[in-house]
Amino acid sequence: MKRRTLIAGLGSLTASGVFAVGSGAFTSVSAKRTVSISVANDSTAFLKLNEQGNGRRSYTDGGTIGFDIPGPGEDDYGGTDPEGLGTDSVYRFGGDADNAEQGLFAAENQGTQPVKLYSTQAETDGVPTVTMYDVDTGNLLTEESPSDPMDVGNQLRCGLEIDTHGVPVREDEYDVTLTIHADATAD
Amino acid sequence: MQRRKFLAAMGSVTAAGAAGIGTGAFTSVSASRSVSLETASDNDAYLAFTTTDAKNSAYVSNASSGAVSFNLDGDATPEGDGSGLNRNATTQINDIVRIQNQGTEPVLVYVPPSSIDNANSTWKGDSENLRIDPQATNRPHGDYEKEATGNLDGGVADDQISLTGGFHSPPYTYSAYGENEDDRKEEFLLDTGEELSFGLYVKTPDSDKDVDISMEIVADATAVTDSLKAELNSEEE
Repeated sequence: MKRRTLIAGLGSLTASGVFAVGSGAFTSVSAKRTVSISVANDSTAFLKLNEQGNGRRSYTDGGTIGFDIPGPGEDDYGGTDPEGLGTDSVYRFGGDADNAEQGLFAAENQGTQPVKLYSTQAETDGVPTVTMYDVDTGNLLTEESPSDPMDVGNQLRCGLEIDTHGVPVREDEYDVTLTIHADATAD
Repeated sequence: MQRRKFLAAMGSVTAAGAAGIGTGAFTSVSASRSVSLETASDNDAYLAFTTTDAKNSAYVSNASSGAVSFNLDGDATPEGDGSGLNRNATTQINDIVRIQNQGTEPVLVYVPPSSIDNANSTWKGDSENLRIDPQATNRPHGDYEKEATGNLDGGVADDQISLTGGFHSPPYTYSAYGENEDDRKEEFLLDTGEELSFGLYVKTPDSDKDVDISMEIVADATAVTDSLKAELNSEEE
């Protein structure tokens, strides 16, 4: 009942509004709303990224995952101590030095929609080319051929393929930035 | 906050009435009249924020109980136990809520860049800060389509636009969205009963952040040109 009266009240107000200003039920509304944001570590974020295994080829430092190849802990497993990757080669790293777990890292969808995963690398001139791949299928994950849609709660174990063709041998390490994408699938 | 704005709008209607009619032989009249007002929760208001059809409504709360708040943090309720945005990342979440025009006139919907703290501008903000831009998809009007560039002009959805017009003010003057005034405004247009999807584009720094950023979401009927109204009317016929 109260609501009815109210609608009638607004109706009359509208009428006078039209007369005076030429407007309808509202001329303008400005609603202030708040967005609360937390930046989380990779292990708790909406796209969860967890390093796998031991040997420090993959690691988490300051909240984000990173990779060191060869891993500083290589000699703890198998007793070898490689200096680096050979030139003009294609390597795949599907696990850390201990080979205990499948995958160098795992990506889990903690969002709300199925997503396809892939990686890109902005700068490829004179540095190794790094690409994510699915260690179960062996498929490279690129923008043109990303992973199958990954449902919320599912994870994908990933390795890195590293191509050193045309990359000279040098003493200093190469720093490469890999961008990991998770794009919601169109419906 | 919303209540205040609404009262202010009512106030101006009264004032205009006085100016138009109160010019007779008397010096002053004071007449008390009653104005009935009701505020509504966001999903029922003139400018409505609804979650029923939105795909990513796990990132919003309070739509049915008051003013919506957007939760890109531990208060979000996706199925997993994610509690925030990745560091050093660009996250786009489209279709968090639907913004619906439940008024009686067409409006332009946008976010004035000045209502967002400038340090948080996605376009000009400092990379040490968290940078944000409100964006719209599933828009009923306009013909803008993103270019596949990976920058802000090119969102993940084809019809995605920046509700701040890339921090241009007013947003609907942003030249990328059309060749002339009507072309640009049309991108932001909601006729009576129409809705669009509201989303957020956020760039994070490589550091811990826990912040609240407010922005004003505006629906403005006065910015709709007569020629746009005429176009809408001809579509209906």
